Amino acid sequence: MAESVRPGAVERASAWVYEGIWGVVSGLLLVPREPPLMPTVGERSGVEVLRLKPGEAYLRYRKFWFWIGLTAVDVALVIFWLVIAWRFPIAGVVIAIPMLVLIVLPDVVAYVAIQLRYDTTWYVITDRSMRLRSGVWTMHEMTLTFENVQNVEIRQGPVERHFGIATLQVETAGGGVSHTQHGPVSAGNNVGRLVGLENAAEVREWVMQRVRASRSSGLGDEIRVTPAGERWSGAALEELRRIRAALE
Amino acid sequence: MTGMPQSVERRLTDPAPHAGAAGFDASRITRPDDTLLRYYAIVSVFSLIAFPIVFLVGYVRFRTLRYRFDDEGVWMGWGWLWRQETSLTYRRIQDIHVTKNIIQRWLGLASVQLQTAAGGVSPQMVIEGVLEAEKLRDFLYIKMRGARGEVADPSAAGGDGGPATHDGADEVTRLLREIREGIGRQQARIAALEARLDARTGGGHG
Repeated sequence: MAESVRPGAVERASAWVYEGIWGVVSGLLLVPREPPLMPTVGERSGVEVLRLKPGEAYLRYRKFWFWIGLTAVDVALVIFWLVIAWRFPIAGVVIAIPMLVLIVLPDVVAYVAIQLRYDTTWYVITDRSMRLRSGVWTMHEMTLTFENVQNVEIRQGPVERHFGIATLQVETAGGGVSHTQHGPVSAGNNVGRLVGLENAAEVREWVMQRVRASRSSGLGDEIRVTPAGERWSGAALEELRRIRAALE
Repeated sequence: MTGMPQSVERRLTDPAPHAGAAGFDASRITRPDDTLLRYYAIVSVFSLIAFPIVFLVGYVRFRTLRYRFDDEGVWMGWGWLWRQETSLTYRRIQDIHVTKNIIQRWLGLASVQLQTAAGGVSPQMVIEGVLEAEKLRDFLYIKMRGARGEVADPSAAGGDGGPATHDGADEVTRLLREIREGIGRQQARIAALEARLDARTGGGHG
């Protein structure tokens, strides 16, 4: 019985602690918990709005890397401390408490930061545009319309595949490349990244449907660039020939 | 979009859940708010030894910074010895970024960055010192291409002309067929009239 009660109690307690952290974060760091809003343009009712978050698997994926990093760093720190304590026993005792803090504190901060970043990441997608929000320390919101989208990519590494998540990249013509010593690198300002999607292919279809409907190049050109009837179909040409014949 | 996993939440919005840019007049923004100078002061403190230079640069920028929002685009200029002016039209905006670091959030500020298709690394225009950054962003968003659904919903945008779609080609065909049929009818009438005229003149002569 006690075995079955304990995990629930721990979860409740950690949820309670996390709510407290959220209270501090939203109060002191002024981070909103709600997803961003999107203005609806024109007199349209019942506009479908997707409010997406990274999937639960993305949280597990981030924590997986967290545990690997934690193990590597903490093992190195413990070995360092053991060497010191073995060579200089007094110094080892003196730095024992600071070392313990150094081993534990960054882990706690990083763990909470992963959770906070997950909870503040939102992807709001309407039928015409999308708005992506992320970040706790520096909040970043990107807004783009599908009319301006140039290409859409799905990226997935082996570890991401194992967790069943992928990153969807929606690129506009904004921004560009910066030339570093490693060659041209995308500056990234023009790329909307939807990380940790469990249904990246579905979201891509949603976006591409709207991108395909666009008939402009997405570079600020006016919508009605091609005059009607500039290219006539074969049937229309046939009709023209028959008019010509009818006038004989 | 069927079979969404539970991490996806979808709902229908109310017709007007968010006032957006309603009641917001961007043309009133001509100068940055005084809070921006305070932000520059705080940032320059972090530069420690370079504080006087960084603060002076920030001060000059704050004093000379001007904005002008009109119906078609936005102009901004700043600088005293070295002047810089940037203009862009709303329709050429590719994406809008709003960033707020912790100091900016405490002061109620934000940085609105406008990206055009020019190949630069940094945004083409960075609007600072606007207290109603969210409303400005939504105002710009509505002016952006694609936000009003010109393509997805041509009837809402007036529906005159339109690109040469398949429907347009069908329309041309239909019109041409009607013209041909019309000409055919006219020719038949002319032939009938000629026959009657021939019959009358023929009868007169005969």
